[in-house]
Amino acid sequence: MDRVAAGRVMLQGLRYRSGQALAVLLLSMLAVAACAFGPLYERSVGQAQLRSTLSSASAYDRGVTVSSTHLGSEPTLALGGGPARALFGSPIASQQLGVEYDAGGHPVKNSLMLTRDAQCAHLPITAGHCPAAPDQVLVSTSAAKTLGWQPGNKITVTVPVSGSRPTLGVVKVVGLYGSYDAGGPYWFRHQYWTADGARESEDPRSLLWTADPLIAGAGFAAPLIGTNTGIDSGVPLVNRVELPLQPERISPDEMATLRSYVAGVTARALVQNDRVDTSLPSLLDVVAAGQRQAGTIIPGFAGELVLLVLVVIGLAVGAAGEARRPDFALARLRGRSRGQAGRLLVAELAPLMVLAALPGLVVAWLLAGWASRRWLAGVGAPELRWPVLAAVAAVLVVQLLIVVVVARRAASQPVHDMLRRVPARVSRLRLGALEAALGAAAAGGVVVVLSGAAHNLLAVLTPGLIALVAGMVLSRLVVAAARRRGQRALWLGRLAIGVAGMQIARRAGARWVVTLLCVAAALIVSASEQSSDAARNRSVRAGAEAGAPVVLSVHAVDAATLRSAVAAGDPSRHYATAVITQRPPNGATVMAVDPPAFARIARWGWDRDIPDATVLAKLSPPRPKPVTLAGSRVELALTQLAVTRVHDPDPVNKPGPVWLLLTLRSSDGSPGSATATGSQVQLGPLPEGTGRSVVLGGPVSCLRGCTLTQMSLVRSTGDEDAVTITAPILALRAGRPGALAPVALGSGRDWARVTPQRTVPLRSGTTSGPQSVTQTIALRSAGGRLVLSATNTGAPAVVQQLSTPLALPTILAGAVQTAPNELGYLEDNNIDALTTSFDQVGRVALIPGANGPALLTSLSLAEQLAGPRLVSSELTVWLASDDPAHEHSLVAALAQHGVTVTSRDTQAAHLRVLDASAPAWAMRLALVSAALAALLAVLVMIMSAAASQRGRAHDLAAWRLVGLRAGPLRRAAILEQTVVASVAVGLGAVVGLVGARLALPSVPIFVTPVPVPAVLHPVAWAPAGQAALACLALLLLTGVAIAQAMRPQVGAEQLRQGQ
Amino acid sequence: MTVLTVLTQPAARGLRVSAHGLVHIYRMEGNDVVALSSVDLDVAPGERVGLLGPSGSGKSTLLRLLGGLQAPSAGRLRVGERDLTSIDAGDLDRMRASEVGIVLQGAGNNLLPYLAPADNVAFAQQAARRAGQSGLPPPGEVLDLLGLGDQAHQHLVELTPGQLQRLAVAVAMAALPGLLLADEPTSQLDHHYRDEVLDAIEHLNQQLGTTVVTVTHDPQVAARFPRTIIIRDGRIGAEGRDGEEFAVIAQDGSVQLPPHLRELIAPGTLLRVRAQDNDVITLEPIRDRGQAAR
Repeated sequence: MDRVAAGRVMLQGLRYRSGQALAVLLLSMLAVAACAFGPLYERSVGQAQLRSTLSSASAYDRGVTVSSTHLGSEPTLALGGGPARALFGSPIASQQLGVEYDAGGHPVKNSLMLTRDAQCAHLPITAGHCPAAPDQVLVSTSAAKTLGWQPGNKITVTVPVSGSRPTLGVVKVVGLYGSYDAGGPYWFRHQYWTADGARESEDPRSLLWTADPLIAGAGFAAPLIGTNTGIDSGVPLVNRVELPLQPERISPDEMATLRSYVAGVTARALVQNDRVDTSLPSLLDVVAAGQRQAGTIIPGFAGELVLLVLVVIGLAVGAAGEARRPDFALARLRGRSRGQAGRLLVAELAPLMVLAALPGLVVAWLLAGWASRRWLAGVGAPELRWPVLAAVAAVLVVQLLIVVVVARRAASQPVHDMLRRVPARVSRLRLGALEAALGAAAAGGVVVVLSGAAHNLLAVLTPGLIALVAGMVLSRLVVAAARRRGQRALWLGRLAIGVAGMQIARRAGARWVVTLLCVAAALIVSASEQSSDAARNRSVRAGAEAGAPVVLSVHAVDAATLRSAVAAGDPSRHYATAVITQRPPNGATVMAVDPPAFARIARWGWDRDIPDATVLAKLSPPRPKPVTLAGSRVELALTQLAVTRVHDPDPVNKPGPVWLLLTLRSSDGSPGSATATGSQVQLGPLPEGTGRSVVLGGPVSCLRGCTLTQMSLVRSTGDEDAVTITAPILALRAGRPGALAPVALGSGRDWARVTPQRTVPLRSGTTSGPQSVTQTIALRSAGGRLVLSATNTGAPAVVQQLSTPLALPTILAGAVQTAPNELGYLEDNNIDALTTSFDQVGRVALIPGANGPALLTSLSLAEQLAGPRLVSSELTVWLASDDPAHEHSLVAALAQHGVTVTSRDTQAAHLRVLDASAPAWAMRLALVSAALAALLAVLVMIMSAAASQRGRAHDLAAWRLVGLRAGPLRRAAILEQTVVASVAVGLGAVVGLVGARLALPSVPIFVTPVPVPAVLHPVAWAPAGQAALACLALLLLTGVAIAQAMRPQVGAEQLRQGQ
Repeated sequence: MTVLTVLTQPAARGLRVSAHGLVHIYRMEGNDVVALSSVDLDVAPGERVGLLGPSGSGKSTLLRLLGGLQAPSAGRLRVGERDLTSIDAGDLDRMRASEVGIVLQGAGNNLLPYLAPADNVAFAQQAARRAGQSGLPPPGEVLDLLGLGDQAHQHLVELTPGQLQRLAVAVAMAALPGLLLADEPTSQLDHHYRDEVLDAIEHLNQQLGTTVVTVTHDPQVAARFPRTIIIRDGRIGAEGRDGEEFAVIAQDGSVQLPPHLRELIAPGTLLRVRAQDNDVITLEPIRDRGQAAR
């Protein structure tokens, strides 16, 4: 009976307060949805991160390769079994053998014969057929073209075996294979087809050739290895099995299974002496890092939203409790205890909240599904797992607790207090436990943020907490100020302002409305700032990774051709610039550029990272005019020559003449063509003694001009006597024999020592004489002429004309590991892949496109020091903007100069990759959170107005009764709403911005380590301002609409209704 | 109107009310207000009493003290067997659940607006039922008692003001309490509805023997009660019996002059009180202070 009656009371109460019930239902749904969305979306992001990371990795990196160089080995055994194998495709076994052969006079020393399971199903066979026997091979179409092969040809191959006699075999070409996609899952990154098919070795000192592999039939190796099958080492044979991972089969729960499987394979392979290659564990590390970051950001934003919703629910339940005061009073009056009276509210609201859980969960599921489809490619429907249900249960419990607490507090008031129509208000300041706890949490968040703790959930929650505390403080100030201002305005006869002020001061929920609007505005602005900052960081990093908006990889015969083609295509040097990059495997990246153009076009990250003009200028320092000469002979006239020798008595010492050498470079830059024997001209031995005048000379091949770069002293092999030389230069002449013309050598400042100065002990020394000499060389101006002076004990001694720099001036970025050489210079590869010296003139945080430690140097200087051939260099043209039309005309101009574009990279492509990462996906939640915060703010305003409608109508009617006109009252109603909204949004925007600035350093933005050393966060005023203005506009419109809706209520007849 | 079948000994159901030296002070910021000052009152079981007095005289405060809605500042107050000066919250709840029914001023303040009359009565019975009170009549019977049997399931908005007020009384009587306290039950009613309500209360009193204490400021309403207690300035100023008003000697011997005598005798005037042989007591104002000395 009682339960039936209680149920009827509840249902009738719900019907009577259907608007309030609907509001609570909606808010409860929103709370559940916000709470469930976090784990749902986090799981989807984790899944997307897994798919994205594994799918974007090559099949080789994500797969597992077990290889063995032992004859008869079976690497397949190492793969083992178990449930993890279901996550992989079928293993692909292959066998490859290093072979050599002679192809039409080209000694191919670096090629392979290989076979793979099901190879012909994946190879485009353009002629002939698939090998059907071990001695049948396919050759690449390009190699066939280069080497003149065709089906039917026979190739005699040699298998080089160290320490043993090579074996021979003859294979028959039965077909040609064309280009294929080596990035496909089957090929495991193996590219067996190249555009030229066969080519000379990149090492200029080598005459050997490399050619595309010969793809043979199964079981080809044994017949070729033949009698050497007993030899277990030295045979260039690799047996391999590759296990392709199927990313689409893997869920985040299987990451641990994958890790343990790889560990098992590695352990088994170790037992068999096999090798395992896989990047799967490190890829899973990246995935885990992304998931951890998502686990920081998503709960943070969802938590802020849940916090806001719960506060709004608290407000709504509080208003419901307030509205139920007469019911509580009646219940108490009829003998119910406080708890029983409070249960009236609990019985009415708790079922609503329980009822809202399922639709809330469905809304969250749908929203997460929409977000996954919209933002997370390739992720299936959101998974309802226990964290989601736990989150729903938790938020439900919190809501019920709110109801219980509110009900108890409301029903615990004295009965006669509850019977009062206008509840007594306490004007003095009171700090509640909730407010104190929030203040403490906000302070804790600020401390965490300022302490630099990264990736911290509290840090992500900090903006919301700060906003809540600031909103609470503001609300007290607003109510107090509104009362004071209202009283003053009424006293002065400014009725609209006065009434508005008094209404704000009198409304029961005014403080909470101000607080919540402030929090909502803060969340919106904070989300906007954080989101835009993260987007800018990703854009900056994408630029720094790519190097420029567009980077064209090109093919050019040499650096000069590339430079001239780029200059022709973009004479302004503002749109395009040539960049030649060396990426030595064990050294820092070297980038040779046109410094001013590079500084303009490259994406440096933040502006502060761009080296200043003075540092850039040091990359191309002023240099003396080069010493140029032309002709077939060169002579050097010396006067007052002094050559003295201190004999070394060591029996191994073999005294010999001292030679003077000139190093020339032909006008086309090739060092080897200046003379018949190379770049150096041997001028003959310097006669020993003092005061002599000599003319030294030699032939050169400089009819089209040469540049003198160095003068060197060279000693005979084994001559270690200490020799001191003073050789004033009378003249340098060049030309045809008999018609030599003087050549200006410049001043002593134009020359510098190349070889290090070194102190050497003298074995011939006496106790009274010098015990050592300092080996040195110099070319100085003295007495109106240049004087070559040197002290030498046998080591080469070189002075260099400084039009050719001693070392390439360079700007360093990152931790370059190279130690300085004896001259204090760094050493790294030049654009010809040969080691050269670099002179550090500056340091920057990063060099665009290098993605790690790097040296930036001048391309024109690098060319001077490099050989004519570019070896292992990446030739690129960087463009200042992604402008297809402009790019098209540039590419055409490049083509006209023999430079062809081979591939294209863009900042946008890098940005797409960064956008498809867990932190970026997680950050999108900030925008969802902001949108929901705006919706909540509107709801709060409407709820507050609805809750106070009766009292407000009564108040306004009373004002009318005492003679106030409708106009001021309407203006007052608008003012009341808009003032609250404006003040709250104003402070909320400021607090949101501050909170975002505090939280941003702790918010993860990238999964992988950042090439940009420090992520700066300048305020994005435009997006933040737009967000604040949009929020303000929305709330002002809502406020005006509410005021308009209240207008019909302004009438004296409302006085009775308000009773 | 009908007689409830559950009742066997109507007269035994009324509760006695006794107050002695009852004081109630409202504690306000800045100054305290004495609402009741040394009130002595005895109401016999089944008695029907009207508390009459002007606004602010303290009659509603006295009613709230009798209902246990407020605790007295001093004095003794008993309702039935319960001493309201030392009662705990549980006993107070139990008392309001089944022993004292209260009708607040304004019918709407006594009713849950979203419930039908029968549900309002049922709602009011729940606490008594939980407290273990058995034999409660069905809501329909309670409504019948107040002449509202036909309106048991109507919406409240469909009821007349008189019906609403009777419903308020019905709700207060839902658990058949021994004491009915009604605060201005007819204040917003016209004569027709007023009489309807007063008839209902009288009927209750006669049928159930419930002690009834009703607050009113309307002498015509008070005239419907066999005993009226007039409260002035927080004290019992007089009592009326069957239309005649008498001064009341309080426990401390004090007596209030009727208002018309106060106009004749200014505050501060000395009175010579003399008992005559025929039990008549005379009050002689002394105009001259010197005469008083003699």
